[in-house]
Amino acid sequence: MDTILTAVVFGIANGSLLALLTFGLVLVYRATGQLNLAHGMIGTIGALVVVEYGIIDLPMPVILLVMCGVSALLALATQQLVLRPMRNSPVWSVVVATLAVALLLRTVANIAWGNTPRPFPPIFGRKVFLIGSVPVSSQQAATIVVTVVFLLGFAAFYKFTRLGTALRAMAANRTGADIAGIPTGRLESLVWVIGGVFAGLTAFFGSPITFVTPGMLEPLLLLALAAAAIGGLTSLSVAVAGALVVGVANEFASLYIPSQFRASVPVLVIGLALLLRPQGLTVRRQRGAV
Amino acid sequence: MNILSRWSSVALTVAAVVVIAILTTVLPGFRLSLGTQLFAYIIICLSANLLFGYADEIVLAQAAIVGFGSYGFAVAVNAGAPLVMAALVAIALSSVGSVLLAFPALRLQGLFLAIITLAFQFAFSGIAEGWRAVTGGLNGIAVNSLFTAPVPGMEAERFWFLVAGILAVLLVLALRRLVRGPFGRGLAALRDAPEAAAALGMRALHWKLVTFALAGGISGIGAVLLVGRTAYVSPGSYTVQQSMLITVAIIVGGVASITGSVLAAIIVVGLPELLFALGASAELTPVIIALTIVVCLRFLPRGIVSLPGLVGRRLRRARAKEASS
Repeated sequence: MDTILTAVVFGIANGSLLALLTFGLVLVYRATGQLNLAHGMIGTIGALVVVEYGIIDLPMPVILLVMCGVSALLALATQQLVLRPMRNSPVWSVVVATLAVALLLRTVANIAWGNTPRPFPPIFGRKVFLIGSVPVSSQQAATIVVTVVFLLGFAAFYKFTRLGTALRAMAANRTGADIAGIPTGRLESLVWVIGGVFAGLTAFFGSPITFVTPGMLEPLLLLALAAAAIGGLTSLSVAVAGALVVGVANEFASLYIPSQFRASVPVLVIGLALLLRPQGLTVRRQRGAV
Repeated sequence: MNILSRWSSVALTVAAVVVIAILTTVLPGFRLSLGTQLFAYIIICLSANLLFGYADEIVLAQAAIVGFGSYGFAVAVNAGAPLVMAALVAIALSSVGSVLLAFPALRLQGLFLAIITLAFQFAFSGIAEGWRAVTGGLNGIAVNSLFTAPVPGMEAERFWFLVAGILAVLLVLALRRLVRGPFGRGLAALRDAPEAAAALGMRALHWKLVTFALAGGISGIGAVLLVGRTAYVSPGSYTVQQSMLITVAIIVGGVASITGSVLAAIIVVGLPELLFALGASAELTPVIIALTIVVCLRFLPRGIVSLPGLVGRRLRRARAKEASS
């Protein structure tokens, strides 16, 4: 019973980290129709820059700012240099292009900074407290709380501000938004920047757990893709819920699946999502087409 | 196909086989090895292009599909199976690996298929590295018996070069016939007008299973040749990067084109060699891949195969302008 409870708590903690990553991914896809497979690497580079250039010794808000800033700039650069010129290309070419960007960043990071894991101090201390009989670290608790705060904050922005409304309009009907005078080109860049910030946030909260390496977010990105797929890539709320489910599922997988087969969890989750939604995962797109 | 072109293609085939046979006797060992790799990748790229180009399925797990066959071949040979048996095992396993992806491909299109195949590739790499009892983990599996060729008096390198060369030529021809014949037209129909194809009674399930099984089987042949060449399998040859390189090479070479597949193989094998010759580190390969693909998607979306047509059109337009002025 205790192991199960612990797995659930750990799963929720990892799942909320996953939710941050998934959120950025789905946000960009919803608004622009571009699936950014470089999302994880964009956050990772932020973490690497912080660790490599001594920013790690500065106060916490500065670290956070630099990390999200670097990631946001990188996301903007990717959008401007790679994806904007490909606006009318078929879907697959965008996927391949962002995967290429991921590969590029990964390799450059490997060559520039090497592959050794570097520690990242837990920002919220090393305290461990017990909830019932389950030990929870302050880092885990803080990750959950901050994720909830950021997601609620963004939801409010999305729902109640003019800019948020414009973003929603663009996601719902791009041509219509264009005609209504919404500057969709600039909004697209903005969405990529926000996506970059979320990638940076994920790296910020993930670093103390995974340590900082060029491949630190790779496994998490696959799980995020699985979570996003549950929401049909377009539903933010389902994707966040999916992230929590995937987080817990992954924790159980590590209990029951021998370690050599653990890499198959994302495939299994996506396969399972398919079984649970036999109509396929493209429902929204069909609705949009009507 | 008229009689003239049929005879010319027969003549070309015979010429190609003769050239390969001559090369087998004269080339030095390391060139033979590179040649074998090129032939193996021609076969693999034909398979990848069948899925990616002709059937329009975004499969980002080609290296994993090949890997199934390679590991199968290595394990079978080490267990004492005769070469032909082991090769059949490899072909069957690659086929099974590929068919595993056909099921999601039935439900998922485009992005979703890309995601699940990418996850499949990561799972393959993870299991190949982790399941030491069968795959040997990061150390891989050495297949020492492959260092001696089954033909007495022939060096292993020459044997594999000859076999790979002949198989590559045969498969290029076979695939060319296949995609130009009823099967190719069926694939085109399913790809371009799925509703019309269904209305005419084509069963998507049947077609997809056959296509994926066929492509897997072809990849399995390439897998056998790759292992035959090096007498060794390790996870490092079947990574996400390799899948990516194959996909990119096909886009750069030419999607849904046999010539494009051959060009793609030259890119996959030649790029690391070229970098090496230039004194650059092989680590840079992914950087070059990434830059190439981004530039290519931007300026040459139909690949190198489209280059002659593109240049020809430009020239004609320029000439027309000259004539009119």
